[in-house]
Amino acid sequence: MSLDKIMAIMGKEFDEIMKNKYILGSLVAIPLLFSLLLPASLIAPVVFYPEAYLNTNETSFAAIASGNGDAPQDALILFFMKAIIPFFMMLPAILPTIVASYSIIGEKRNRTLEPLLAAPVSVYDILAGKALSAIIPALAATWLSALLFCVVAEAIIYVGLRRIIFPDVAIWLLGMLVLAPLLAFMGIMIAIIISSRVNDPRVAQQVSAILVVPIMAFFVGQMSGFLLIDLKVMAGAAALMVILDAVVLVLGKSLFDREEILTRWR
Amino acid sequence: MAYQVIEARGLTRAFNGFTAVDSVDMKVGEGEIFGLLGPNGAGKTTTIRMLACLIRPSRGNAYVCGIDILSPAGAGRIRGMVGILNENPGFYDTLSAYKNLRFYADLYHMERHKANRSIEHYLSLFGLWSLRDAPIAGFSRGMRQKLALARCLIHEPRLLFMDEPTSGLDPESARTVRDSIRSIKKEGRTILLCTHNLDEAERLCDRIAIMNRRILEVGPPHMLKRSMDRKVIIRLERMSDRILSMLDGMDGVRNVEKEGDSLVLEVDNPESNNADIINSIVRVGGRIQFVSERGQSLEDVYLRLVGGRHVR
Repeated sequence: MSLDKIMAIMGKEFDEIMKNKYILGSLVAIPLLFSLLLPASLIAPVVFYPEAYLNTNETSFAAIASGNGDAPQDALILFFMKAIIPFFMMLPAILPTIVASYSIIGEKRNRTLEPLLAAPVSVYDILAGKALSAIIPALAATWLSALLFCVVAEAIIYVGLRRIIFPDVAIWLLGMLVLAPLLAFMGIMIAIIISSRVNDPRVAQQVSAILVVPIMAFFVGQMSGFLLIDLKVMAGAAALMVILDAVVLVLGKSLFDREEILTRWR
Repeated sequence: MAYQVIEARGLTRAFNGFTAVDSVDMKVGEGEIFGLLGPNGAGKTTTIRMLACLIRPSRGNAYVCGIDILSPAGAGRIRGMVGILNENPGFYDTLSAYKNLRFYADLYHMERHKANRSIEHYLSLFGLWSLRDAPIAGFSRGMRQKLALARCLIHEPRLLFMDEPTSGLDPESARTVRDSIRSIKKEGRTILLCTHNLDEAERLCDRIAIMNRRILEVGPPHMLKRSMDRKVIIRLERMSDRILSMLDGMDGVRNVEKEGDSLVLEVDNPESNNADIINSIVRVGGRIQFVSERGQSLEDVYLRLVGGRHVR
């Protein structure tokens, strides 16, 4: 593999991303929406109307509120801050699929695959360049979005309670620095595999969206009390993702052949 | 013997049981423009793709610039030494002409200053320098073709594969492209030109291979035209039935037609048969005014070969 060529491909991809309003819009709008809507819809009610949760007959909320020695309201806020993590795991799964599907299908539509493959560049350089140019902005958007979420959530907490309640930093760091890249890799691989067979980026994105279902199951599990997010759960999810990433890499490997790309990617 | 830039032996490629290219043998010398002439689906593009190491042959082998196309390490080197002009060249439409070329220069590992000089040279040569910062989306078909030509030249390849380089171009753009092909040849580069434009092939190529999945005939255009159905025209002072009946059935004469006072003869080998034919006509009292050859057009040769020996 050649770093220079990977960088050249990434540079070209970034140039194209900057010219594509849909991709740029998605990279900015979706994370921004998460950063602002999630604190407003999940954190603010616990801060400003805690009685709605504390006086409920919902057993899981009552258990959480009286669970671990924290004040009931603090315990609930911490609970919701963990429940929100799956939303930020959706970003690295969704955003790279948008970039990658446009990139691969764009090559097919523009008929640039053949000149690209005719150049002295390995297929792995091409795929690494494309994958990195999708993963880097997606992860950057995810991390900025998570950071903005924390700032907004803490601001809401401070305004309501005149103090700061820090989220579980270890879980958030594990999610952002380990699980998010693994999910982004999975998103890229699925987007590439699907994009090799379809000619509409939206179709590739819709099929790739299937990745969101198991992630949302985490949120549902947390809210229902069925699968509470903690370090063990997050580490288990990361280990599972390593295995799944390896599986899709093996599955996708047969597609990453010059002749296969030239003759079968239509 | 001239250095062979391409040397293919039994090059064959099948797709799901269908043989697209069958046992192609080919030698292309340095500095030569070699035409591959054939109908759609004749295997011209597949042949180029095999020689450019984009797809593997099912059987046979070839050496390009002295490197084995089947060697994995050689494939990368070959790609660095050749340039390919596709029939429908694609570009990154949102990017400028300059950025498109710069991207390819980077893939060919060109040094920055050398790449910039080369890009400026070729964009200027094709009259596109003033449009270097314009997005390609607004380029006409002719401009895109010129840009594609610039793209396959910027890394100064030794060998160029050109697939229908003037297809769909207006006459002026087609002429620019043809002139460029001639100047590339003058620089000593070798060109493999795929086309079904017979006139273009005849005007540009040193040698032509007529192919329809396999090579049917190879040679310089003038030799191809002389290779079959050569007709000898003999203009007589006066036509007579005696001459016609004498020629009919004569050894080496395949067909005799009368056109006024002229005889149109299809002869096996004019170089050796003409003297006997003329002697025979004179012996039966014929007075010959002119003897000339009616050459076949390349189109006649092509249609006869492709139509008559269609590979199934």
